[in-house]
Amino acid sequence: MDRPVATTPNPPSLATPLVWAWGGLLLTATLWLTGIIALFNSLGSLFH
Amino acid sequence: MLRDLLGGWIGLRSRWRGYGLPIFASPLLPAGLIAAIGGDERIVLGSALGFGASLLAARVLRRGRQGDANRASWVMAAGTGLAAHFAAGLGTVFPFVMAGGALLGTRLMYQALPEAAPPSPPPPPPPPPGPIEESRARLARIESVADRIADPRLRNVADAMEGVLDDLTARPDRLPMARRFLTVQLDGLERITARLEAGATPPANLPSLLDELQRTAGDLRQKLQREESEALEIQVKVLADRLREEGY
Repeated sequence: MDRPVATTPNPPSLATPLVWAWGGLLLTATLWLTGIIALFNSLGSLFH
Repeated sequence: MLRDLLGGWIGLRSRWRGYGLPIFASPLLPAGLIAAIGGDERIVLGSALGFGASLLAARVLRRGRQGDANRASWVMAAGTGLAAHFAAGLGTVFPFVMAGGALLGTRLMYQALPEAAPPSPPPPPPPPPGPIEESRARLARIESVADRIADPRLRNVADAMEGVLDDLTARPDRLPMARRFLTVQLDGLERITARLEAGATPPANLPSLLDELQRTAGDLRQKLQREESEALEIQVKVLADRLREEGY
């Protein structure tokens, strides 16, 4: 089993959760939104 | 206090890392299912690729090795781009924007989480024993049998052959000259030893054969030494000529 080692010697910044939140927001605006658009497209395909 | 809280949070996220990615892709599941009912294969394909990529990225992230967050980001980017093109029907250019967003988003989401160093490659297997080492091991077996059955002639032959091996260890480049000796004579001696150990009665001409083997080993050593002497003589002659030519 590999022992986890820190990738950076410095402790993580206190703003790290904000960075995570930005990442989550970006993923929501891209992948999740793509999924929602696909969902509407698929609903549309039911009526064609 | 805040640092402890952040440390705990990082630990928690490290334990659960990667599981969030399929949640972002979750709308693709009903989309694919409904499109399958509606008979739209393009949407089914895009949804399957997008959701599959999120599962693959999660699997990569779960390993937690150095560089895995980066690899997972690229997998997510590819999946998002394909889903945007096929399932969402966003054309050609816009899927690249979506892919870029997913790449950056995944990188940011998994920043500062500890990653393990890549496993060290397994140590290379030990090299197989060379012909000299192998012959030495065979000779050791013959010597132990010779001691056990108290046969001085056999022991003398083994000692003589060991002398040849000592010479070859010192000059391994002479090995091709002695290869036939190693294969034929050592093999023969090994067979004779095995028979004697099994309790065979030695024939009348065995002592003379063993003497012959011992003599041949001595001859080979002399030949090897003669070759060395000749090589040295040539070296000396060449160097002397060179010095004379250079005018020293």
